[in-house]
Amino acid sequence: MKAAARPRRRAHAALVIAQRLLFETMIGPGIYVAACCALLAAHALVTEFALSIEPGGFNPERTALYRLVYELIVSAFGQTFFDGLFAEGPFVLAYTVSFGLLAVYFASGSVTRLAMERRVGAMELVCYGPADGTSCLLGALGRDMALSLCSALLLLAFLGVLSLRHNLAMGPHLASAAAALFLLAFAVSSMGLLCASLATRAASAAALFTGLLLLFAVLLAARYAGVTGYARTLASALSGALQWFSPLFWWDLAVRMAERGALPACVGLLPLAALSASYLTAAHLLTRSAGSGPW
Amino acid sequence: MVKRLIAAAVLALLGIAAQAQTETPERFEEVLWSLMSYNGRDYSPTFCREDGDMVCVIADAASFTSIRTSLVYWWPTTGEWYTDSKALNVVHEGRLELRDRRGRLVDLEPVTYTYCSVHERYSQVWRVLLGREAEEEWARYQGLQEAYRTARSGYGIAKASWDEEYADLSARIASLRETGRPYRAELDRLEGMRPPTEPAEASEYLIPPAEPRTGYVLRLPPGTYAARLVTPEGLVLEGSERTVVAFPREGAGTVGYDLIPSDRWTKTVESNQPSSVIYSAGGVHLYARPFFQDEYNDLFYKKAIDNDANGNPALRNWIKVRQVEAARIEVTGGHGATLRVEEMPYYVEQTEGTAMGYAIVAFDAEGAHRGQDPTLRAFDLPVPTDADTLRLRLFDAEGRSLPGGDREIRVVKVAKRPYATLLLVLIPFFMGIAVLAVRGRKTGI
Repeated sequence: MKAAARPRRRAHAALVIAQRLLFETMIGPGIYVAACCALLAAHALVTEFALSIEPGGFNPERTALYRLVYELIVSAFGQTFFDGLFAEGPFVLAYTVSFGLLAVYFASGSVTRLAMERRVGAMELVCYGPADGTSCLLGALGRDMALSLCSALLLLAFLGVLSLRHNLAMGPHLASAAAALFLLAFAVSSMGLLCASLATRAASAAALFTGLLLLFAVLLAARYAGVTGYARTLASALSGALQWFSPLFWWDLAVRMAERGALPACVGLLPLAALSASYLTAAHLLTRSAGSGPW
Repeated sequence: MVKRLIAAAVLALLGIAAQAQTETPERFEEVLWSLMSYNGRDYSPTFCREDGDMVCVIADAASFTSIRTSLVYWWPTTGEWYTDSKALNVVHEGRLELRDRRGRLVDLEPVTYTYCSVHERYSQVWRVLLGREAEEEWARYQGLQEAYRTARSGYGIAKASWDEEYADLSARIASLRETGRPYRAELDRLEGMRPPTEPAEASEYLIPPAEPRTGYVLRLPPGTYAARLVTPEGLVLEGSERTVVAFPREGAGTVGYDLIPSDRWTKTVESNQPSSVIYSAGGVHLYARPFFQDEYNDLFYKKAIDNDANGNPALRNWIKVRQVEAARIEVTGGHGATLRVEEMPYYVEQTEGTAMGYAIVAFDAEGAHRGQDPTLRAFDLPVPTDADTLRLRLFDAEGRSLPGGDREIRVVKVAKRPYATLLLVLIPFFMGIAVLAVRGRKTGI
């Protein structure tokens, strides 16, 4: 095969694999159940917010859900964090929760599937002889991103309907949160692909991916939580060592920079894009070093 | 026998309880940084113990410190550290050496200082005076106080004399009236008597200057400094080493709002972020007070006020500095017209009857509220139930739009069946069933 033709062939193979994976996802029941759950979460957060409004303003004590949300957030992160989160309304939280749910579902599906295929070498043998491991990675990434984009559009449309119904504002924070979360989903998917390339079994790949994601989430939460003493020292030490590899850290940094007006969101998100590229490069190198073996 | 045992046990328990109550907390001798920190509006007294992790001050604003050895103790009832400066209070002399991260050295010599605040309509303005200026201001204040005391003393004598004269004349009129003699001239004189005017205390100070003290003025550019006290002998005072964080003021000049709903005067709603939206169910008047506000790091700001406090270094807090003077608000939306709202004084009255609530009424300086001050100066923003969105724009006295002063008030609509939109949630579910059905038909499963 000529060197110049390889990227084109690889791109074509990745596209075909992505289409095939998308088709398989769409004919399975999982995506519909996940979409239902995400919409239900968004609906509950928005509708209950509307019910929590009294003549004098937002009062979380009026509904059970928001009483719980208030207690959880304020006890963990403080009143300032809560006020900032709901400054524009409920949409930033509703979108983050529901989109996060779907993005993690898509990424974990890809991780498990890729690791399984890596073990058995099913895809190339059965369907696409010319495809290599990198094409499979790119195909899975393409599938995740297509699904994430569709989910983002679906969620924004749904939130738009709720916004019109309750006269709630969809402000600039939601727009920047949507853009930043999409890029975060890209980074998380890339991290998942790296996990799938590292592990030899589907279960270990899923465990590695989930463990890393949880660790990064806990480190981010610890950054905002009012922990003191030893817990803060430990969290700071761990963060100092691991945060550079965490997509959540770079995402949070970009969002905070944009909120403070220090940097435009598109510039702040560049390190996150660079991290995603590093994950993909590492996954590609691992795949190539594995040779034609199980791939 | 049993009774004796019970009595002994009760006595023993009472003894333990009494001992626990009278037990004095253990005191520790420590080198402290005694601080008077500027907090953006006011000064807060606090101190940093030897194991305190940092001293926090607002950058480019004057805060004061002195280094002293004193006793500290933990008071479990309030959960706070206190100093016992009556038992031990040794102020250390020397120069305060601060070194920033780049190794640049800042030497601070002790200076005499005082500070005072003067009253403005909406806030107080702080003046920091150093050296001779501090002494002069203190002397001036002492002079004003002395003049007031003299005037007060003179007033006391004049008032006593006036009271006596008034009583004599009244008695004389009564006596003339009883004996049927004319008393018109005495009565005219009595009616013409005016009591002496009571002297007023010097009102220019809201908080008068204190007696000048000696300390170090921490007016530092933003940054982190390693600090220690070097004694006149050139030795570093053990236990005086601290990390000083001078944290910057951010978002200066941005406008935030306090909104007081007419139906609940005690529950103020804050709208601090310029992008924040004010939600209401409508059918209420919101009394808005615009404030200039600054943004500070949550942890550093809390530590500047109370060095033992804990905060979140990843968050920022808006701190109201002073109410916007002579502003006006334009409200658009609602029923289409643009409404110009001026700031007015209001008075909060307790409503009578069983309601036991409060009502915010217009301040009537000449009538019902004569001799009292208004409770608040605010903009009355009516929020009707049938309005959708009201847009506020804030203008200063010169008619310029103030940055961060625009807000939206949205009247939230709650349908009779708020869960009707749940049907939309089920669309993916039905789509899934349809897909599975089609797939089953094609595959024959």
